[in-house]
Amino acid sequence: MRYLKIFLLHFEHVFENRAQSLVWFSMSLSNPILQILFWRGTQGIGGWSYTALTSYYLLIAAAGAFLSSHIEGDVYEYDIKQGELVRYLIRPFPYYWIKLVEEAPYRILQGGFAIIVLACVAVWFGNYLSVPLTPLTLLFGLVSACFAYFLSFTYKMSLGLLAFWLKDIRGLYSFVEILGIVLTGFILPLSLYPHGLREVTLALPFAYMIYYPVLIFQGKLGLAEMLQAVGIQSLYLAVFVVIFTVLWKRGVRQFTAIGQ
Amino acid sequence: MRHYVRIYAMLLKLNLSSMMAYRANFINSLISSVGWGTFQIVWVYLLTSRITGAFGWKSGELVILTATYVVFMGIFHTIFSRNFENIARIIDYGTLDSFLVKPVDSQLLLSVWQVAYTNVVRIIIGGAVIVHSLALMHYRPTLAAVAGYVTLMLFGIAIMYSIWFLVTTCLIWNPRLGNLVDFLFNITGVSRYPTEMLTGMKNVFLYPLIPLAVAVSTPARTLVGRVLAGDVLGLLILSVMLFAASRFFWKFALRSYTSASG
Repeated sequence: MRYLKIFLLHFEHVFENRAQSLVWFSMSLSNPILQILFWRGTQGIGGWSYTALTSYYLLIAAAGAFLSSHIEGDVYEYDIKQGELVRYLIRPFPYYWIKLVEEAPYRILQGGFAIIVLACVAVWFGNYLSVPLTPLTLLFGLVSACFAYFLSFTYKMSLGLLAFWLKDIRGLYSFVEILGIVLTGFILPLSLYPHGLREVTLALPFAYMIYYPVLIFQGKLGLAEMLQAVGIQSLYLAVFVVIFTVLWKRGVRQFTAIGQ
Repeated sequence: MRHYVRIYAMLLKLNLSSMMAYRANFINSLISSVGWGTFQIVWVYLLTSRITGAFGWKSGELVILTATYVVFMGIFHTIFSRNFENIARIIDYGTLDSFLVKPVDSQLLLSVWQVAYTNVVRIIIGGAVIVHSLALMHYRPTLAAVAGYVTLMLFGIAIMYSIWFLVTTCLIWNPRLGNLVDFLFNITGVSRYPTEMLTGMKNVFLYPLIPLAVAVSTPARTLVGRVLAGDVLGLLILSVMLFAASRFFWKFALRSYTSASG
């Protein structure tokens, strides 16, 4: 209940600045739309029809808005560098959960924009969106999306905590952002990547933050593959939680309380 | 004019000193520039790995188009974009006053105050890929084509600058919308694609993006010997019109500037 109240307070703030969220969402939508336009001239590649590709990119945009956490900048810049972490240390809430409650409204609002866009596409350009939902894919899709968000959030939180030790990590963040775009399938479905790179990207945790949930919603995975995807997501999440816990316990010990 | 040249020379010198003084910042910016420059190249190689061409462009030409984009944005980011990032803050905090009271054109000063030298590395990456791709295609551009490429790129940069300035000027009315500049960074990516991709759609919502695509694709066409007189004329007219519009809009917007922070 306490978390819900905090969540609602943050949601109020985020909703007040909804124009800003709309701009962020437009950013996550613009690249997939350009990719859709680019593939317009093709008859489908590597077993993907044009409709499957457009659905993929639209779902990728929606997943990017819903599931991609951007908390690392907050943790790095405000909490650790400027010392705002003090506010959190004296409160009776675990840092991880309070940050989650702070970020969730952004994801929900931007995800809401994504739902509106998907609904508009379904109504006016139905041929370009094929999401063959069954109760099973819906169930696995939602479970996988939850795992994907926690995976992304825990990974980004851990990245932010590196600010306890590193002086300036903006370069690292840029590098990580680029890796994210390439390895989560924002450019192309990962199965269409060249041999070698494809196998690597499909095995890395980044694919489980966006790519696999999208494939599940697209109905491209069978039951065994869905089970495997969710299983690997939970394993990666466990690994990231351990990494976060270790970084947090060690980092907070050397935090100077006046910023780093 | 000499007055402005002297001021810009001084700004170049001050920015160089600043870059040398903050080494961690320099290294971070360098990593970021190398990363984004390389990313664009990886992006186009991935995209063209499964196709032989698109919209009348062969895959080699698409690589040259993207590499031209990398060079183009390298120049643009070196000279302008950091300043655009700052404009939102300058307007929001009410510090625009200090620019307005100086005996120099305020638009010019706001646009060139900071220089991001590390982005020069993008120009090098893009240039190297262009040379490599031309060699792979066994195509040797004429001297006139290279001269045309450089000249048209300058006009293209004028288009890009004008569009960014027109959008950023809107912050005078809503300074809190600072992420508009991030949006510009994002939407500028349309310049990596062939113009035909937008014009072929005949969709009124895509028309505003055409100048961004024309700004990069016209110089790239010149280099591979596929440019038409109409393309060049269109680029020149667009650049003059948009630059004039950015001047007019800035002066108009300043009438609404209250000098109070947001």
